[in-house]
Amino acid sequence: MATLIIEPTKKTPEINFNAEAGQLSLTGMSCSENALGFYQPIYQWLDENASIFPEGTTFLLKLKYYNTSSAKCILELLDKIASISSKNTPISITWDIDGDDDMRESAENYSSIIDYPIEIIG
Amino acid sequence: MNKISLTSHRKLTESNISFSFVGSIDVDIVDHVLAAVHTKLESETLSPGVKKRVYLVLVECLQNLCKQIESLNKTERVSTEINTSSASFAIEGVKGDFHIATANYIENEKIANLKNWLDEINSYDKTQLKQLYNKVLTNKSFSEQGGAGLGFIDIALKTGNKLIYDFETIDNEFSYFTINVKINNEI
Repeated sequence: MATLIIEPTKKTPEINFNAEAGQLSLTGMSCSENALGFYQPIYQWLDENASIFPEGTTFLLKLKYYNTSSAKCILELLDKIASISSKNTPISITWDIDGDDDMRESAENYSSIIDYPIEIIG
Repeated sequence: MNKISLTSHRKLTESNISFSFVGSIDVDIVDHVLAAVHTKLESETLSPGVKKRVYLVLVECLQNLCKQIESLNKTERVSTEINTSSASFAIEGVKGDFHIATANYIENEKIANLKNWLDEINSYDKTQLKQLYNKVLTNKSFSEQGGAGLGFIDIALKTGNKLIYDFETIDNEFSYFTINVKINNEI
């Protein structure tokens, strides 16, 4: 399947991944107490579809809130995107912080940990 | 039951939020409380940064409480004195400063590790806390209950205050663990 769409809930984000269009986005809240259960299918989808990402593929994050259970999962997700980028098609990561200074700090911290550029907007 | 008087009503009205709960706690109850507090916070005239910190610290406190109870429910230790699923929490906001308190039963054998962890967090300044956060963030391990091990570090970072805690011994098997955190109006 070349698309992965997960509707948002009060504690999980909206996922809209389209492999053929090269557009990946994660938006909303990520505050599930079992974040790993939510993110594991996303990792699996990325593994299965990374080979068909076209040139110019983008990954957009726009998170209102995330809890600490999600923090590790977001790191693994970003790490996976960076890894796909180095092995397959380059992917540009953009983080829309919506004017939130704490979120800017988070985005910069993740970029430093995965050693991969994250463009910060908003 | 205590009567609600006009004086107590006025006192409660002065609070941004006043909410307390005692009883069996599970994920559904926590979700409902978080949704209610989120709606209430949105209606308050506080800075967006304070609203967000209060909400996120409450998320960490209550999800941590749930995980501790889940862990306790798996223990083979039993007590005729207490209901180990029972816990309590309270949130109060006065003039923009918020206090969150949680309390739950804990197995005595788990106290030493938890106390050491809280003391370590309380001994660190902001830079050291950020280093500890990144060390735990990158270790990729989750507890059996899905915890990332980051909750108390994150609370200390977001509040800028020490974690005030206590353990009260009940019997040879269990104690009562309480923790209090304060979120200042402006950090």
